[in-house]
Parts: sequence; C-alpha cells; structure tokens
Amino acid sequence: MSRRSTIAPERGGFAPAGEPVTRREFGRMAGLLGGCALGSALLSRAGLAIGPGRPDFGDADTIFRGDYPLDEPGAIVLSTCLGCHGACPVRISREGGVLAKIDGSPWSPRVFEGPLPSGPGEAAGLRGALCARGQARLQNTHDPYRLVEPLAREGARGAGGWSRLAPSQLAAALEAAAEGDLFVGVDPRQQDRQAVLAAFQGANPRVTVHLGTSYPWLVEASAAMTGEPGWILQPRMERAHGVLLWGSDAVASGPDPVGDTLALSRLRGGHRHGLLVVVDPRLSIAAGMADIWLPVRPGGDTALAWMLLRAWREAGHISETSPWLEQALQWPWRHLEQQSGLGGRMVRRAAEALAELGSGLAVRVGGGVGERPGGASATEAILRLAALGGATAPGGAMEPLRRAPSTGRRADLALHERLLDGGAIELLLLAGDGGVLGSPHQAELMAALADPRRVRLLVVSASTMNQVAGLADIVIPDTTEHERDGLVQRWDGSSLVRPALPSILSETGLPAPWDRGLDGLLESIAQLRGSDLDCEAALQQAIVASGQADALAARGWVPAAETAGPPPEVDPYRPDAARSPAEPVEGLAFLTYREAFGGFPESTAQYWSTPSLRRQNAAWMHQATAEELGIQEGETVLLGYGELLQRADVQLTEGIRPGAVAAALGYGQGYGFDGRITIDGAPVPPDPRRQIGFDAGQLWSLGDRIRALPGGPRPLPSFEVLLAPPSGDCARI
Amino acid sequence: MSHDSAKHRLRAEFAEALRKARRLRQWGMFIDGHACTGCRACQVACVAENNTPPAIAYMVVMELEHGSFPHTRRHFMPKPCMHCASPACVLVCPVAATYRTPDGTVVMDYMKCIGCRYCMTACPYASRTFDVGDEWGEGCHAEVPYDRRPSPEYGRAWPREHHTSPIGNVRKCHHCQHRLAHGKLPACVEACPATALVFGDLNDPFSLVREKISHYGAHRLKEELGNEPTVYYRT
Repeated sequence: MSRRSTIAPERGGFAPAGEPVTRREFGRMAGLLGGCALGSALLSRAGLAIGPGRPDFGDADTIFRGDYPLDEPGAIVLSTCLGCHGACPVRISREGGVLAKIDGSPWSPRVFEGPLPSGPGEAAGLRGALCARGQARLQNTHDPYRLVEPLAREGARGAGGWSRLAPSQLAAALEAAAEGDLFVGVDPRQQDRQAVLAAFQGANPRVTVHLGTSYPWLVEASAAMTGEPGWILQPRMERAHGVLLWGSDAVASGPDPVGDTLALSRLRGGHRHGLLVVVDPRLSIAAGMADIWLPVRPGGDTALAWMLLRAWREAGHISETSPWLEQALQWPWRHLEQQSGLGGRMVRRAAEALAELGSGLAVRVGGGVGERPGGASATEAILRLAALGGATAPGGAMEPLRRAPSTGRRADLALHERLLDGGAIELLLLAGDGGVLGSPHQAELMAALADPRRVRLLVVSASTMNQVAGLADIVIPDTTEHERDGLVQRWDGSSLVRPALPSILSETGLPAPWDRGLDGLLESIAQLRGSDLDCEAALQQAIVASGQADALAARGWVPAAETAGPPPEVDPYRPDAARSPAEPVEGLAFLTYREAFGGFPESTAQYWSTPSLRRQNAAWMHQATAEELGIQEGETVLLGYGELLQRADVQLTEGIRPGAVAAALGYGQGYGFDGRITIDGAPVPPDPRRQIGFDAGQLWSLGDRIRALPGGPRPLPSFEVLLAPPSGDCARI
Repeated sequence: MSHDSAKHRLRAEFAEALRKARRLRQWGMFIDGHACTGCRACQVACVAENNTPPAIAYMVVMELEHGSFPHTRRHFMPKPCMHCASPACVLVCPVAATYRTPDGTVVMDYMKCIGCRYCMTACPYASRTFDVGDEWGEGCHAEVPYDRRPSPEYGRAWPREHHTSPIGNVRKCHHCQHRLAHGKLPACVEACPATALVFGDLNDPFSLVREKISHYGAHRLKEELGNEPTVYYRT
C-alpha cells in the first residue's frame, strides 16, 4: 500500500490523513494559512471582500429606503369598504395604476387613532386600522373568476350554460321588456348605489327599486319593541361596563367591526376590566376569552333569554309587568332548560353577573341568531332583556339609533313578498344577490327565481357568478366598490365618504360599456325607456342633500355645488308577519364557522388567512359527538344537503357543544355558483380554491346527512409548533 | 377614538426614536394577549404589505385552547419573528445571509441566501418559512394580479419570477424595514384595530412599549434558551 498522496510532500503535496505531519509540512501549512488571512484582510480593507461578510451599516438607512409607491399622494384613493354593512372608510393604494392595498382611512376617526391629517399630502403617509376582511377585499377585485362580459343563458335556469352576449343583443333584449314594469332589487351592502337608484326610480314611473335592508332581524325586533320603524337599538360600547355578545363574534357580525374590536379589547385588556358574557354553541373568538360562556343549544336563544329574565324576576332584579313579559315567564323552568340545553345553575350565575351591570350592559346580537327562522323574535327577546335590565335608560349602554332615511324602509320585503306570494314579475334586475342570500326565506326565494313563470326575464348584475346570478337569463358584469366612484352613507347616516381621486375603473380592463357596471346599465335602460339618467349628477345631488357638501368640497373631494336636491322618499315600514318563538334544531345541528373573515359572501374569494395557514375545511365536533357517530379524528366525512355534498376532515375540539358540527361558512361553493359553467360550449375550469364550504342559510340540521368515507383516520395536516408558553400548552396555528 | 390614544402615542414615540442614531435604538414589540381579539387583521396586513405567497405570513395568529367543555378557554397569540438579541439562526447560516441590524432587527440578504434552511431548523420559534414559489392563483383559469406584484421588502422591488430571489430563499419578518425607512410603523402594528401590538424603542425608558412591559410583567417565549427575544407577551 502506497503511503504517498497524489501529490507527494516532496513535490509540494501533503501527507495522507492519519499519517504524522513532518516539520516541513507543518511550516508550509502555517505559512499558507497566514498568507490567506493576510490577503483577505488586505482585500477587505480595499473593499474587495470575498465570500460572506457583514454589510457596512453606515448607510443602512439608504440600503433599505428604496421607493415606497404605496404612499405616493397620487396613488391614494379614499373610498369605503362594502365588505359588510359597517361601511368603514378606507384608503386605497395603487401601484402602477393597479389596486395594490387597502387600509383604514386616516380621514376618519372611526378607524384612525390620532389627529386627522391636515391635507392630502399628510394623509398619503398615514393609514388607519382595518379588519382582515376589509383588507382582503383586494382579492375580490382581482378575482380570476370575475365576470368580464355579459352572458346570456343557454338551456334551463341554473344549468350553467352561457353564451357571450354582444351589447347590441343585450339592448334588444332589454328593449323588448322596456314597456313593462321593472323591479330592481339591491344587495343591502351596496349602499353607494342608493342615490343613483333613487334617481333612476324617480325618472322612470314604471320602475320600482327595492333597496335591501341591513340587519333585517334587528330592524324588525327594534320596531316591535319601540313601535318606531325608524329606530334600532344599538350598543354603545364605550359606555359599557360589560358586554353580552349573543350568537356571534363582534368582529364578524357587528355593523362597526373596527370600533367593536377596539371596544372589546379595551374592555378585556385595557384600562378597565369589564364583564364579557358570550352566548354561542361553539367557542367563538369572543367566547374563548369570555368570563362566562353559555354554549346554548342551537335554536334555543329565546328560551335562554326567558331563563335569564325569570332568574332576574325571582331574584327581585326586575319588577315590571307587561303582557310580553308575563307570557315569557309562564314557561316551566324545566322546559326552558331543555330548549336552551343549559343547566339552571349556569344560567342563574350568568343572570346575577349581568344584573350587576345595570345600565352598563351592552348587548350585541349576531347574525347567527337573526338569520335563522324566527330570528327576529329571538332578537326581540334579547333586546327586551337588555331593556328590562336597564341598558336603555338615559345614559345607558344601549340607545335607540335613528337610521338613515334612505335605508329606513323594508322595501326588500315588498319584493320578496311578491316573489313568495306567487305574483309574476315581467322584468327583474338584481344587483349583487338582491338581498336573497341573506334572507331567512332564501330557499323559497331561490325557487321563485328559478321559475320562468314567476320571473319572466331575470337580469343579475354581479362581479362574480353567485348562486342568484346562476339562475339569471342575463348576467351583467359589475364593478366592486373599490372600482366605482361612489357615495356611501352609513346605515345610521353617520358617515359620508366619496373618493377624491380619479376613478380606477380602467384597472379591470372591462370593455365599454361594462367598465361602469350597473351604473352604465341603468343609464342604458333609462334611455330605452325614454328618460335621461346621469348617475354622476345623481351622486352630486345626493351629496348636496346630505348637507356635507361644503366639508367635502373643502377637502377637494367634490366640486362645490349650488342647489340642494329633494330628500329621498321613505316607504312605510312593512314588518314581517310571522313572529313565533324559535324552536331548537332537532338532531345534529349544523353551525357555521365564521372566523377571520366573517360570514359574508365575499369571504368566498378571500384566502389570505385561511387555507394555507390554518385548516378551514374541517368539520369541528366534540369528542362525544364523534363517538356517537362512530367517527374518529382525521377521518374524512361527507356533509351535505340535497346534491351539494362536501368533504371535510374531522377535527375534534372541546370548544363546541356536543350535538353540533361546525364547518366553514360560504368558504367556497356555498355562495359561489356550485355547478359547472360553459361559455359558448366551452367549459370554464372550476376554481380549485373553492372546493369546500357551506351555505348555512339552507341547512340548520345535519340529521343523518353525515357519513365517513372509506379510508379510515389519517393524520391531519398540522402546523403545530411547541412554543412552551408559561402554561406549557401546545400552541396550534 | 380619542387623540391621546395608544396608537397616536405610539406613532409619536416612533418618530422620536427614528431621530436617534441607529445604534442607539433597539426595536422591540409588546403583544397584549388580553387585548387581542383574534381578528387576524395583522396577519392579513402582513401578507398584503409584503406580498407574500401562500403559506407565508411573517405575523401569524396562533390559537391556544385550554380546558374541557364547557369550561374551555381560548387565547390568541400573534407571533412574529422574535428578533432575538442572540439569534440562533444567524449563528448557523453558512453564508452570513441573515444578520442583525444595529437597531435590533434580524434581516435577510436574499442575494446571499442559498436556501439551505439551516436557519429554519435552528429557530426555536418557527418564525422562518421557505419560499418554494407558490402562487395564490395556482390552477385558476386566469392570473391573479397580486401574484405578479413585486415584493417591496428591504427597499427593493423583488420580481416574482422563478429562479429569482426571494423564491428559493428563506423569508422572515423584518419589521417592515421598507416602511421603517420611510418613517412608518410596521404594517401589522398599524392595522391592529385593538392596539394589541405595541412597537417601539426598548432603549427609551419612557416609551409605551417599555411601560407596557414593566406594567404587565411581560414575559418572553422560551427564555430559557438564551436567545434573548425582543418580543414580549402579556398572557
């Protein structure tokens, strides 16, 4: 065996590993290393560092500075978020002419903390807080499945067959129906459309516009209590010593998500510690940090409200009498316990804690209660509970709030009743979903829309294909609120915002005349009907009528106007006839999972905090429920109703009432069109992101419509990370 | 919202700290677990600001569930990079692609990162993620515009193209360096409706972040490891 390396030591090489190093070799190695070190140091001094090295921080500020196009004053548009009914003022940033980011507007104390900016230049550098859903509305504007051209139905309604429709063909179709009555139904969140639609109705005698109503269950309950249709009972969180959140999370369900979040966090973690009681069958965000969590049986809300009242009466906290109260108190305690699914001890403890708050009790009723059948009467019982507790006393935490005249009517009921009563409509134009998907009578309304004998010609204006649009004869592409230059008035009339800078409609690349969405369509229809409609002028007129024109003009948002327009008409209030106590759901209850982005239809296209960062396509259930069903964690189950079946992976949790299953609401097919779509015979590939989710409006009870699929349990994809907080628990993403 | 609000004070102190020499300030964060309502506004703001791809958010809201039904509690814990004073990730990087700035932010040099992921293994807080080049519009029939929008990190417009940084690199929270350089708070701090995230100069004894830390007796995660995180929690 040779002991020589490839290059022998005597020729400048080194001894093989394991061989003793000679003195000559050692000297050679030491010299080489020293030379390298010296050379490196010299090169480094000369600014010619080789390999990894630490940067020189002397100019670190300039290293990171670069451009920041999001804050260029010319790239900012002030607008209003219509992601929910709250209508928060927002600041839109454009980058290269494209909508790039949405933040809270620094012009509004609702979302901005601190002195408001003195001018547009300063405002460009500031931004307010905004909820996750509002920020992620950017994804709706840039949805790859947006409608970009008008479509005409081919085949049966709802079958998913479409053909492209030229503007001239659309005009001809509308002209054919131009002589008859036109009904228009509007999604209640499209508040910026109200001025334009009022002008449209005023200019066309055979046009009836039905504006949707935000929080209809709250409107009805408040009207039943106060006898005044123009008022609703709202919590004033800043006055509250304690909050009773009934049915859902403040962030997800309230009309002021940002304000409620701040109020709740201050109540819980800020300078004052207040009581937080949450009623919800599942451990919602708020329920998880509540002082008292009342996991009510789904549908048992009215019974729980009556239990609390009865506990108050027995403890002597209330002495009033009224027919309504006496009726509520006559129910046997045991019956109420069965209905609510809660033990008397737990309820009495909560009643005592709430009674101590007195007029400092603020109550927020969420959509999970109101949107169910009988939701208005359950809401009424909860509001009466607050009133009897003293919350509506002068200076109390609940007070009647006058609603804006333009939204002070239940005109959507008139349209819905006409559809439900079997009356035929010649031409119906719906903006968005027309308020149908949020109605307690959603299934019946959808059946009416699917019947060509009931609605002869159905035209839907929408930004993406939703369930209602799927039934239409003609679909018109519409803009999102961030693309139109609109006027927005909050439902309580407290806020008025109009974008200051040029329209960003051109971003969508929609071909004319669809770049103006519904506005352009309304102007075309008005022209066909022999009238003249100018949507921009209607907006200006509404601004003047609002009395805020001077303030807006001073900021350069609107040109100074000269004349005041007529006040909008107010329709008489038409309360819903049925008012019966809600019955709890029989069998396995189905609950929605509405976190992060809330439960609104637009959540279907918002992904930034959901699928890739946390599991959202899970069927959440308690261990006891899983054992009863014979299902194990990690098994894939099929949940569903009708033909709509969804797969979900079973996830066990202690944060849900046994007997209930929770899954994502509207995340995916629930609110989007769930069938196959073809355009001119060519199939449109389905959105791979929308494969899960439910529309809880059609499903309250799962019954036996849940079964495990073959394959057995498998490990759930997990992002678990041990962070070892003081409690020693495992944190889970 | 009153004008003497916490966030207003935060902005004023932040502007004051920026006037100091870089070595004289040490950025730190206090996260109020009692004030956090789990709305995830910070998480979405981070994704929107840094234009990160799927599965990458530098600020992630974690959930903790305690107890058994019906005595169950739930807590939320926003978790950014801890920006440790003795960061394990920096020590293990073979090419010195990650380092700590003089004002206490652990940042990345995408031009040096070779994607070996040693730092991901070393980080005890799982605060680093690897960019494999995913896109939000994967499989959709049209392109999603924000997939193409360059990321603005470190004051550069990083194009979102394959074989180009930061695809193939490790990514992490950098306190929105590009915003700090323009005198703005990190995006997550600005977006939080509950002011549960307090960012400021730990060297300023009168700053809100120091006040909160001392008032609530805040703790740091995994202090026993000796990484000296600069993110403090109230739980």
